[in-house]
Amino acid sequence: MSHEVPEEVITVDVPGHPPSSPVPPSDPWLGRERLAGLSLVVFGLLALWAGSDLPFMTEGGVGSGLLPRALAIIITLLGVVQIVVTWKEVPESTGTWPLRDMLPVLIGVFLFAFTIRGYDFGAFSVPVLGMSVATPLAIIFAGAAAKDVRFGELLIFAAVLTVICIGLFRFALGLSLPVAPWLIGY
Amino acid sequence: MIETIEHLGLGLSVAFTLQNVFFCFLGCLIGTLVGVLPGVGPVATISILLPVTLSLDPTGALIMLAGIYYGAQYGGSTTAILVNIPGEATAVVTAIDGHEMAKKGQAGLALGLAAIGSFIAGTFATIVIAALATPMTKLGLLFGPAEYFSLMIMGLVLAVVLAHGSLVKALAMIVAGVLLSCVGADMETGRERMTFGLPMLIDGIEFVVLAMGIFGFGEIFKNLADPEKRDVMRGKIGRLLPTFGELRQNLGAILRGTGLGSILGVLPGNGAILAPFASYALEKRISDRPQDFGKGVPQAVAGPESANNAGAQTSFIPLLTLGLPPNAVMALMVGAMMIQGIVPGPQVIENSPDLFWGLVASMWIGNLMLVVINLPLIGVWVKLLKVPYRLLFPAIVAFCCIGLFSISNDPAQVMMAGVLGLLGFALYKLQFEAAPLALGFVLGRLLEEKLRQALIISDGSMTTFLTSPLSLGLLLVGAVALIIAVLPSIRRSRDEIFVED
Amino acid sequence: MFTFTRRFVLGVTAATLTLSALPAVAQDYPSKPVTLVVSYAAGGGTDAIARVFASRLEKALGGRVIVENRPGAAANIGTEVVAKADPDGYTLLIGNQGPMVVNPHIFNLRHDPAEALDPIAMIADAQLVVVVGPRLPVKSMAEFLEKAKSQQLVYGSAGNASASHVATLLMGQTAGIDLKHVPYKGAGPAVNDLVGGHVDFMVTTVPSVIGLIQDGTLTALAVTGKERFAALPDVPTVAESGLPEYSASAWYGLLGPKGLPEDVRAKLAEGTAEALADPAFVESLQKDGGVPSNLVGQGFADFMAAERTRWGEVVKAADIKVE
Repeated sequence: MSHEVPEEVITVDVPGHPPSSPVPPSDPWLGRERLAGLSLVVFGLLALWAGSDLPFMTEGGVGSGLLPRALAIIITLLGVVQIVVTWKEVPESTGTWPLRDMLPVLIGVFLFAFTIRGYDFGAFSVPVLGMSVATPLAIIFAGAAAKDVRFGELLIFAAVLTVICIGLFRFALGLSLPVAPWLIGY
Repeated sequence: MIETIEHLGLGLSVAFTLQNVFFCFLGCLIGTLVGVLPGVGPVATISILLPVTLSLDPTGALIMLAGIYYGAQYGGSTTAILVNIPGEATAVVTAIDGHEMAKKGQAGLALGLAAIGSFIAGTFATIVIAALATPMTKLGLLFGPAEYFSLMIMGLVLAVVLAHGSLVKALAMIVAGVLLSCVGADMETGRERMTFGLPMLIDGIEFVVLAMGIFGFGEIFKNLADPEKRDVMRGKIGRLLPTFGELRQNLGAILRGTGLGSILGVLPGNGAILAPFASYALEKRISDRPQDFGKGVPQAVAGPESANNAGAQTSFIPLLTLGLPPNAVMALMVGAMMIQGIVPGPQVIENSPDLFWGLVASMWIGNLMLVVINLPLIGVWVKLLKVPYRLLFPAIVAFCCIGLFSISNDPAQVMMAGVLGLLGFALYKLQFEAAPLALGFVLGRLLEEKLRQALIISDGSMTTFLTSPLSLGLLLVGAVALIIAVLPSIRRSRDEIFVED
Repeated sequence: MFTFTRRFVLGVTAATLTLSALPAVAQDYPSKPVTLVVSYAAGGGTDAIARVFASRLEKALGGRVIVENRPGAAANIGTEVVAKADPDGYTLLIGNQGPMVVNPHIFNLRHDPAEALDPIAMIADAQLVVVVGPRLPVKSMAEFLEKAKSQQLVYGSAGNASASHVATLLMGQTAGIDLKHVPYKGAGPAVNDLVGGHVDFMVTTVPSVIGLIQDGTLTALAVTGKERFAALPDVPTVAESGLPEYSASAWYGLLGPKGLPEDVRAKLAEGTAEALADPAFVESLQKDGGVPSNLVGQGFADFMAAERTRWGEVVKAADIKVE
């Protein structure tokens, strides 16, 4: 079975994809593996700090802080090991982090969260808009993240999918999701 | 033996009425649907349908609810394979190699193997339930907190084997998963732990939120960042169904997974979640090309899927023989039985044998239904991958958002998954694997719960884990497995150092 | 893009305001679906009762009643959601012992249920049962208390501050015995360990163990209510067996935000009474170990106040507190 396609595809995959943006020889002093180790150390220390108020032991049992603290220490140590083990390796770049390309998706997700049941921001509050508003918002914003986005197509797609979702989740599955309280009362 | 056949005969005669076959089909169909939809699980569906079942006859109602349960198990794998979103803990393993296969154009093969493996596992598990329900029950009762803790330790060791990259990184991911599972109110005192004062963290992180964030949104971010890779993998779509030869090659994995799943399913407290992980670890260990695991090996889908399905079925054993529900879905089944006036417990076999054996037989029919429903659907699913990605991923985002919100009607869960998606992307960039993290997270909950319970019972004495022979045995197996896993990598890294020098 | 969204949001806000400004009139109540908040995830005991109750209330009110699960923070989130809702009768709560009378003693709550909620009617009162497993071979409550004085017994509970936990605490305090608590996540796994002989006994809901009692796997020593339980006629109450002052039960009631219009509240109380008159509903309550209640309005409020004082003392004596 190993004579089948899979191996081929993998080898095609790597040289096949053109260097999209020229991978900068960034972080020559850090590199992926050491950054990974460093992240573990930071994560471990953060967890250690977050759990520092918890009792380690209680009378006749383990306190709520024992496991979190022990684990945090282990992670920190593993991070150190990771840095030490990979110290001699030639640093490899992690490539680009195109956060701007992902931002629309995150905005879509958050807009969904703020509108589905309304949200109180203190200064102002969003009313309960329900699935009829939240779903197309999520689809349109997320869809805007695609480099090959076509807005006309996306708008129609969002409208159709919203109707399908309302029918499916609210009516077929009977979940108590608000649909459009401002229009039809639920 | 003859008794078993008689019982199954009685069951089949009950389950094969037109009405019950219809309920079974309906249940499997609803189950497949909620399983495929990320976030909407069988628990919510069954509780919504519970009042409706009042008007049905008890056997029909239970057959339908059971159908939803294993239909959802199967449907969850479909989503895991196609879009890398494991809706349930058990589908995490399927996603590892299943989604890689889908990327290589083998989605049909992966889905087909999952369906056929599940059917074989379901058939075997039905026979196990019919023949061995009573002795298997005793096995489950042997596991007190101490034994369970040791089992979880063994499970975590298996998680190391899951990883195909750096050992240190895999260990770190497992430990991080356990640590994340500690977030939230303490089970013994109710005290908030590591919540940073955020109300959304008080009850801890939901597994579905973690999975949809790291796997679901993470995968979308990954594809948006590297569009070229995505296009390469979406180029071709292979054959829809596995050939006879491919089936034969995977039969061993299917049977081994079925055996593991059947045993682990009986354990209380949802021991069935260990089954697919254990199967993956076993397949990787005995494979002659373990280095390919994680890159789309069919056995790594067939084995765990079979284990998952076998476990899902044998987890009915404690419910049927003792009336003890091992997980939330089973607890709902108890509720459904009570509503129907059947008291779940050891006497169900004697008092209502037609219900008991009808339900057992319907499991097998249900598995047959799943094959009937899903084999034709494979073509539809695979075509779904041909939808342009610019439309496919916004749809995934929308389904995830709705599913996440519906878990507890809480918008904070949606936001949390979005943020976890960034974490998923960072893990990908730093070449950390998410599957060990997910396993650590799932086992972590049980690990701490059982550790604390065991130590309360033993007055804080750690020897409780060594004095129970079962617990000691499990710890020893774990230790041996760890040594086997670590040794080659130490040797390898030493070799690498020599090479460098 | 953004201007469109903002204008849209503003328009919708205006529309919502006009809608909610309409006064609630009992004649046409309910004119839209009523939301019944359950403070637990779908699938629990309270959820099951709420869903069956909702389907009966729907018939009585002649309008849709939608169950909405708002789980979290030891059921305090659901309480808060209803406490903050408009008192128009369209957001109601299924309250039970935990969040209504135990939690105020344990948590720093933003909304005190006694002040922020309007008790409409109690639905049911469900007693618990004291069961022992193979690890503790005693046959009666007297034997049990004897044993508990000579050695520290271990009990499982459905969770910290659950009905099963506080009822056991009260028993220990009343009898003057020292017991060891092992919390589980729900009654299921705890009963499993009781059957497996890993803990000595449990005080738990009737449906979680009745099959095992009838089968003889577990022994029921006593029920915790004031009267014996119909399905277990041979099992005495705890009060009968040596602890005369003892009684404990889990109960469920219908509540709304403070300040419900009197006519809406009367209509809901009537609807509850109508639901409780349905023999099928009563039967399903009884299977859950419950008896239908007839406490309404002030009677229910007085009952809750008394319960709150009683459990407050138990919880304080056991020093359970979450800061």
